[in-house]
Amino acid sequence: MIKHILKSRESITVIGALGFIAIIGIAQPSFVAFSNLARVANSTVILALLTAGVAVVIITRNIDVSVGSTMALSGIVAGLLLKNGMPIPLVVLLTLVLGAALGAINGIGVSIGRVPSIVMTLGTLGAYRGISFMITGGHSVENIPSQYKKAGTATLLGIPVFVWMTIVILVVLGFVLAKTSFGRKIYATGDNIQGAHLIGVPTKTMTVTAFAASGLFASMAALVFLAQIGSISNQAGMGIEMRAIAAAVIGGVALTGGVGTILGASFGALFITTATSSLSFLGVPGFWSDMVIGAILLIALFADSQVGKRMERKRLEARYQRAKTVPQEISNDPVNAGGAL
Amino acid sequence: MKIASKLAAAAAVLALTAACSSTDGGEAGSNKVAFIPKLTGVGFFESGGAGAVEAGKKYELDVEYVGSPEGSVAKQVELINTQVQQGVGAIIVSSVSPDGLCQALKKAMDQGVKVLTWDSDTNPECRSHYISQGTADQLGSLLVEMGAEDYSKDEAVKVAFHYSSPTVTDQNQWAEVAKSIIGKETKWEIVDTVFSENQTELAVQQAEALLNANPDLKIIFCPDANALPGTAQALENLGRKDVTVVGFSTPNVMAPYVENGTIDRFALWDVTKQGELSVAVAKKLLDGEELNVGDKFDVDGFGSVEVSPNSVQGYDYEADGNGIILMPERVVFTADNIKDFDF
Repeated sequence: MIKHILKSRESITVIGALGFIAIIGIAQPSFVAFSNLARVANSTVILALLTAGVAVVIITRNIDVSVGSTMALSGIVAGLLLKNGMPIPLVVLLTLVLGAALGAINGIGVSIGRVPSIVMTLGTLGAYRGISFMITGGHSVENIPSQYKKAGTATLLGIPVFVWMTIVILVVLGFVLAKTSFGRKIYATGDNIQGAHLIGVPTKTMTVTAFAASGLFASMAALVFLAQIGSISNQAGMGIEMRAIAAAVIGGVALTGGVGTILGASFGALFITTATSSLSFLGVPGFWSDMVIGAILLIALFADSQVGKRMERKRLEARYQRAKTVPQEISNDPVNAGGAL
Repeated sequence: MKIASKLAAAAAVLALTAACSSTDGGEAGSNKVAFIPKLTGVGFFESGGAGAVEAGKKYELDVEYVGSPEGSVAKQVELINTQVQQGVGAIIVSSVSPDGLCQALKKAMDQGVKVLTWDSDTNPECRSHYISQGTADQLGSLLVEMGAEDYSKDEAVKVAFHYSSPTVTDQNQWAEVAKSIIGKETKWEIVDTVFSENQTELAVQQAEALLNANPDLKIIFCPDANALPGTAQALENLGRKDVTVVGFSTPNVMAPYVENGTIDRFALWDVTKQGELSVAVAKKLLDGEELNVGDKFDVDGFGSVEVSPNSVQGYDYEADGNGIILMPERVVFTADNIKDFDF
């Protein structure tokens, strides 16, 4: 069982993230105080949701750089609706529908329009932010009703409610991807799109769904943003798409598609947030922060690729081991002789 | 052959446009003015732009507020070059970098375009006049005084700074002045300076980390329109009432935090009026006045305004027709007066 856990790709990220937190805790014990860990988890929520959505798209061998803009646009719409006194559940529902629709537009452009995903989502990255700008006229949306903002500070067992909700949502998403036929079709689409098409996977539908999921998760992040931050401008989430993609990659989601898990991606997000918020505790001057975070990420990626390489070698060795022993019996059987290869 | 002829055609077109633009640029007396923010989409700059455009009507100038949502040197240079090519008479820019725009601005001045800065300055040789919200000394000491309302300067308390980025001209100058005053005149100890790169969620998260890392922190100085509300929100999220947060931001953004008592006071200048004053000064220059250091002139709504030497901002460079025009006043907002402002 332990061997199985260690073998999976994302275990490196999970162990890495937890180990990193432990190291900072040794240097500065107040970092691992329960209240601070809860805060780190709370700060991870937005990035983790965005990363999960991006990960689904990357698994289909596409990329989505529009999640920051999607978050800003759906958050601005949600903020304005809340300010106009619309009931909270209705606002939440409409925002999620809007996010999914914005994502689906990307998916339709990529699958039916045959636009490469990097170009399509670069286009909507600009377009969605442009629409946000037109809606707000450049002013940020302030004064979010306090009964909505209360959700941002509500806790259950000392941990923010948003953290619990995010964990539940991510576990469900992880389960759907890993265990359902729908999820396996997403992986198949990214692994080998022609092959998947030949065996009857509706690859276009899968692509649109993946992008819609990414938009949906971006709008969830927007809802969290509004509650935690209390205001939203059309600058919100600028550049966060790059952190989300970095988090997914650190978490073992391969940019070549077909590989990766939500668990890994989520811990990738945790790792990045920990790196950012550890600097105050480690006494690193703010002047150095970008460089230090960049260096931490590079070290993480390097360690990840080294471990990955070693695991691949072990896997190959195991396979050769099998090939050496097993086929000799089979090769006596002329019918199966070719099968051993 | 085909390629050669295409190239020849392209060269001809280029030559034509070059000829056109040089006549455009040389055209004296253009009443077009480009008013450029660091970046668009931020309430502060939009309000400044609105003030400038409004003042344009008063002074019979065609003022256009143009900018990019991305606050980068490359974007600003591109904008300036485009505007010069379109034949503007004056450019008023809030620069993202002290020297990054210099080449483009000097080229514009060579073509007869009046170049002014507002809000955030370039090096003084790259513009004629800077319409300043106050000197670094004024704003830096304002920060310290706002903090000293709650904690006496003789008390040994821990303080920290939080603003946008270590490379930003104006905020760095204010913070440096405030830090030197704190070093000389108070017993306060500066424990950290954090940056949030104009990202709202980063501002909240950085401030939360700062507060948790330094539980006995008493004052946070936030001379940045994004860092201040972010830090206030962090106090609210952590349920901390024992920390004084002061800084610079716009009243509309800060109103909820002042009303619910999270913060007591913060300051700013009237940015709409800064836009207005900038256009008024541009009008004088376009009318052929030189405005040397020491010159006084009346501006509608501001009274008598004087051209100060560049040295008030700590520069060594002085020249004819070059100087700084200071906004007459800055405003400290509290629960008592915040409702009187809308920007």
